[in-house]
Amino acid sequence: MDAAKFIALANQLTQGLEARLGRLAELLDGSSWAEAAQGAHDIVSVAGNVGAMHLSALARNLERLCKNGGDPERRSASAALRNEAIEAMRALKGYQSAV
Amino acid sequence: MSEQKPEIDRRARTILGVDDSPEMQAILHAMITGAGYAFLGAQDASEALERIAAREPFSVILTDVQMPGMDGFELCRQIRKLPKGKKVPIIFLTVNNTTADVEKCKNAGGNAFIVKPFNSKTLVRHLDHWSQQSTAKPLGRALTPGSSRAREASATKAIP
Repeated sequence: MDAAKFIALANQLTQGLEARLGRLAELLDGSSWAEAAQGAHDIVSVAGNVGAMHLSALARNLERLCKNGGDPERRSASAALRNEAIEAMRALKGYQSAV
Repeated sequence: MSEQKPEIDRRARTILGVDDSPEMQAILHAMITGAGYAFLGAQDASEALERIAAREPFSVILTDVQMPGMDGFELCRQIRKLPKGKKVPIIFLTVNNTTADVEKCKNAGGNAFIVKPFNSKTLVRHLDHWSQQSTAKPLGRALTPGSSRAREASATKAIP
């Protein structure tokens, strides 16, 4: 893949992931657990495929808890994911700036 | 490590990728065309069925499992009902790999599954293996002599 295509793909994935994280935060704030489970599910693969493996793992855990967990566990997992999302997005944008 | 030279002509083979996520579509497109295969995308099951009906059989079909509307398992069952879809290799792309999920893939008529997230090497290894099992004729190019199906088979993960 040439550099221009790679950068375009990286931009698309980063922006898409950021948008998904924003939507997921709204769903979690609204305690919409079923929809949040779907949102977290989608983030598992996208985050993993851009190399944000920890974020992907946290999203997988959050998806499971949104389906089967209790509220305290969900809130805790949600907070962990949000913190990691900030770090992951910072790293992804930093990487893009450096390319 | 440099990528192993392909033993098959990937350019003559078309892969259908079904996923509702635009990001996953972009990833599939980049990985698959980057390896030399032709790629067509479908955003949902109904679009996939339209694409299958409209052209020669695909070499391999990749499908997400969890999609709005018809899920990947039902899509697989529908494809198997089609004359063009009875033997086409179908690989599920799934974030879940529990025993129950594998059983669902098998019962739906799928050939293999790849756990998301995946890397290009894993995806292309599956495509190289399964496109050689496909009954779809490569478009105008023959297999390069010397390919070893036994070796390929050991490198991929079929549904038991």
